Amino acid sequence: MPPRKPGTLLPLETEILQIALAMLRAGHATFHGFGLAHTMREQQGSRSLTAHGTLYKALGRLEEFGLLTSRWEDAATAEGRPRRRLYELTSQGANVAERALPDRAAGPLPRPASKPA
Amino acid sequence: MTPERTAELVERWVRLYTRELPSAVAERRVDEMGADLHDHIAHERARGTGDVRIAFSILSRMARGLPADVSWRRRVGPLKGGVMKRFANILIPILGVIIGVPAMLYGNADDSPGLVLIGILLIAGTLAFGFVPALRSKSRVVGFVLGAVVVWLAVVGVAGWLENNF
Repeated sequence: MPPRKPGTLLPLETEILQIALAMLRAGHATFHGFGLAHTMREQQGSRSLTAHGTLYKALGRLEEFGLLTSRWEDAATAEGRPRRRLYELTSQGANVAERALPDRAAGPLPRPASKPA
Repeated sequence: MTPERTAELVERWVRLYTRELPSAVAERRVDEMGADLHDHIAHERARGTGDVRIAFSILSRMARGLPADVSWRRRVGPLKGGVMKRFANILIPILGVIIGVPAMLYGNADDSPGLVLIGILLIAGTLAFGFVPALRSKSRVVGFVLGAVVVWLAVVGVAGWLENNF
């Protein structure tokens, strides 16, 4: 993964936002970690899924930046399997994702300041 | 090697690097990884993927994400001496043996000197860690860094190779 320039999003983070926006437009407001990794693999035509550490670190950072929110899936929905952590694009995240395609051609996407802890 | 056993290995790794973090942070990461591993295995089995390939895919995801795991761990909570020592004393030798021995055996059987070399390097790194506690503290730090790099490269290389060839 390339080093982060201060105040910018990494390509992986931008890609996550774009996929989240595409899912939102397709009527899927929330997504989970493995589903996201699977979608990225399909889009890239890759044989490998994004690594655990890389994926969840990126999701955590996007949440810190206020571009995603997350919550645990309801136990009833899970139907016996482990509950998933569900992520959702915030309005700020949607705005950043909207700008992502043209801006990616010009270079790294600026990110908003982190939310206070 | 079954997907479930590999998932257990990943879960042990997650529990190791989330030790001494606030319980809410640690439990979130452990539970989220548990759900991911469950979904991964269920999805691949539904596609008809063989168990060995699923296991290597999980191992590859873990190995490639190790630097990000360590980076995340350092960001959310400073590593204390005890945690660092466990990293070196538990994880590295286990991974070294689990990956190094099969790499050497498979490399021999498949007439693949590169894979044998990776296995030898891995075992050598593991042995170095075994001797580290007997060395002075300065050597221990150098040994940890070098050994970690060797083991990580070997794990990524072998897991990726196995994932793409099974």
